[in-house]
Amino acid sequence: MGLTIPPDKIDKYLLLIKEIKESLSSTITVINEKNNRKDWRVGSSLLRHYHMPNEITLSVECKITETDRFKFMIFCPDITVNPAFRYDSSGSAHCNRHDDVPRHRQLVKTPHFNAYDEKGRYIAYRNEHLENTEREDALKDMDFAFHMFCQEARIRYDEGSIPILSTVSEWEINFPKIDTDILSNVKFVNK
Amino acid sequence: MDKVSIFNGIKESFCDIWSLKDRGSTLEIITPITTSTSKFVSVFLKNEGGTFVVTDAGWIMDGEYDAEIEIDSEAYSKLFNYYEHYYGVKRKDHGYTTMFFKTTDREQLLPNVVNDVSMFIYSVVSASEISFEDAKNREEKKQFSRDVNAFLRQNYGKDELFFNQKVIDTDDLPRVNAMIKTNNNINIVNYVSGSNTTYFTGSLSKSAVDFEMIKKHPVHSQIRKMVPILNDTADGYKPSKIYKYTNHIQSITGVIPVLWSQRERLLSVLK
Repeated sequence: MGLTIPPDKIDKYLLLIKEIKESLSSTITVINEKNNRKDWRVGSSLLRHYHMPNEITLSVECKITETDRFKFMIFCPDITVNPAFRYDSSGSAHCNRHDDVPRHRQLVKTPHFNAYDEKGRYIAYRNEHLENTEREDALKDMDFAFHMFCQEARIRYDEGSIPILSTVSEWEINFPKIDTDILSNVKFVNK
Repeated sequence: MDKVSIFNGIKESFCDIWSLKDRGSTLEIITPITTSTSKFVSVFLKNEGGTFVVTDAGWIMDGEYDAEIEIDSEAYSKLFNYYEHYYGVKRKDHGYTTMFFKTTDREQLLPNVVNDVSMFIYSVVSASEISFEDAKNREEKKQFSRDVNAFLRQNYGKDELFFNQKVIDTDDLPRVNAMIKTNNNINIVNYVSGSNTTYFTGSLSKSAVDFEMIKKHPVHSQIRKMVPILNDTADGYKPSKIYKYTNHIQSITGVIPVLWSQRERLLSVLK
């Protein structure tokens, strides 16, 4: 089964995704500690949609101990309590488990976007930027990936510019980053 | 019908899913196994001084599989422990998470270990989707936990507060709901709630056992106070039915349990 949005909300959902949304802040400061997770930081901005009066939020989360682990999400609680649109830089591969998709093509590795399709089914996909292997390293940079996300998600600041992220440099002092090798400083074997 | 060719087609479709991601000295292996949260199971392989380690890298507890692991839920924890034991995986607390792993010294046996760790991940993640506990109780417990966390955040700095962690990282200590660390003093708060008397006394009993475990441990010398906070707005709070449990917990902690309706008392108890 998996996550879905109800049929009567699909038109509204497509309107949310397809049209430009304007960020009320030019800079999103990713500084607050995530509830119960001291190794994640969060930041958000409200989004304005010209044809929808509903509350829409853009949320950014990043793990301070892993350089390439971050998520960008759009929330619109009126449509679903789960993220309406999202980008995952890393993490588990998604399975588009639909009966009409051959098994080996159900795999969508990260980085990937998650959205709902025209039938309201939760799916993952990769656009041409994510499929471009030459960009693989560039996409590990949060600012670069955020710019690409805003283009895909149609998020702008006024006059068509794209909002930017601001993080705090003191992290690097308090939390040595361990790059993409998530086990490099974990010791399992006692010898 | 070319049976062999059909078989090969199925086999290749599965085999095509196996993929890898190079993460420095660690290798991420994406397996063809999918959880009921529509995620492919990944395992991480590392060579530690000649021993191969295969682990989930903390992804189960970190929510990477879109699963909320409620290890404290009675029914779910039985199931979790069963699979943990059956597949022979071990735990390693690291940072803010717990990693599950299995090792072998023989490269030839790596497929066995990859199978066990993958199946363990699949089992505990998929089972977490099943609702064992009465939904009302689950919701009430969650809400109470959010309320107490918010109350503590209002009264203590974020550098002093730690939620859902162990006093020290060791296998023989339980996690506690909240810890307040100030000037080398540690105070512990456990949350007690339940939508009926059975759930409520269950929650009280668990808290009592956790406090007893901490009390017997050498770490106890660093602890100032251990206090249970009782949700007296919950339907399961019936003083006449739970008094023997509250008396017992009081005999362990030396503190009269704090009621949520009198939560300001918690601040003076912890002063």
